[in-house]
Amino acid sequence: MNTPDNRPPSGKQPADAQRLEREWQAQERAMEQERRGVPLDPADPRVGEYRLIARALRAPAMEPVPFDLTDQIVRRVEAAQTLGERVEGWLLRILIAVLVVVAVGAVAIYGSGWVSAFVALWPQPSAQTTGWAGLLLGCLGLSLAWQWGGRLLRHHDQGHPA
Amino acid sequence: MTPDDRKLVEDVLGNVPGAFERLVREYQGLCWHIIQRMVRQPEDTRELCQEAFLRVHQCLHQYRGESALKSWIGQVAYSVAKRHLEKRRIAIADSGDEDDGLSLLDQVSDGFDLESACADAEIAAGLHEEIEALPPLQRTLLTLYHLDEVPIVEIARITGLAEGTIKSHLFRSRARLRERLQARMGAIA
Repeated sequence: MNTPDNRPPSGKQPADAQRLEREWQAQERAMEQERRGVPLDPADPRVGEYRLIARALRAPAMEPVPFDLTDQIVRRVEAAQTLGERVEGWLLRILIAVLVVVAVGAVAIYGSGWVSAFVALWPQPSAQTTGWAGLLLGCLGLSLAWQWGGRLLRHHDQGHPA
Repeated sequence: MTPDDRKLVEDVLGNVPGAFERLVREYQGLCWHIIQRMVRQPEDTRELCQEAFLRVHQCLHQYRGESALKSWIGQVAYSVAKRHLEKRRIAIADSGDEDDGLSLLDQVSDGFDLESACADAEIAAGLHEEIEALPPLQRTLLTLYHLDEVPIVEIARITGLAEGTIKSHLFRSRARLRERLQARMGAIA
């Protein structure tokens, strides 16, 4: 700056601008002197007056920060967070319930149509295919039975040590 | 953003135990000053301070570190207090503050009994009354500048006002206080 006026200087006399500048400098000097705690200079009453103002501004007649403010703030934020999480949980449950109801309703209404459609999609096997499929299933059954039998025998041996 | 601020923000966002409490302890004084200077009522100040920190907690992930954490939190506190005053239709700045301050300077003289003024508790009390009588914005700017020692560039970030506007408010408010101080001195003499 250093002029304290934020408007364009058009129309302002140079003497006025200098006067404003001097006043601004006195205000700033007073603030600095008050911060540093230097003794008052009786020869400069303008700065002296601004120092009284700066002193009053540095020791305001304000309510001090309450001693329990931090705890109150932290409790409130935690409560809001918990509430938010609870609401989120309930919304999720409601959403799942709605989806289940819609799914059950859809199956009840359109289910019979779907079953016949799926049956129609199922391939009709020939006699040769049925034979090979039977052989495959037989082999698979035999293999599983062999494994199951072996496991049963091992279990029996562990239960009755010699 | 300082490394300390960065660490604090990361800890709060990472839900590190005690991190948010540290943040509150660090910046509650600034928030309290801003909000109390704006709204004045202690109960409203307490409520709005809590609201401000609730917003800080909710929006901290949006903080990008472009300004100091102090300015960012101050900005939240200022906007909470400003919205409160706007809801109650309370003007935050004096509408008659458009002059350049020259008219105020015309009303002050340099003949002043400084020694007696310094010793006079009545004068100090009167000055506090005059400060309280200023519009909310001017009170807040003076407090941030003088009490919290926040530089003008940071005050501009907090309030969203141009630096020139802030200087202009500071200048006129202090000139007005000087004029009132002299008036009170004259009345006492």
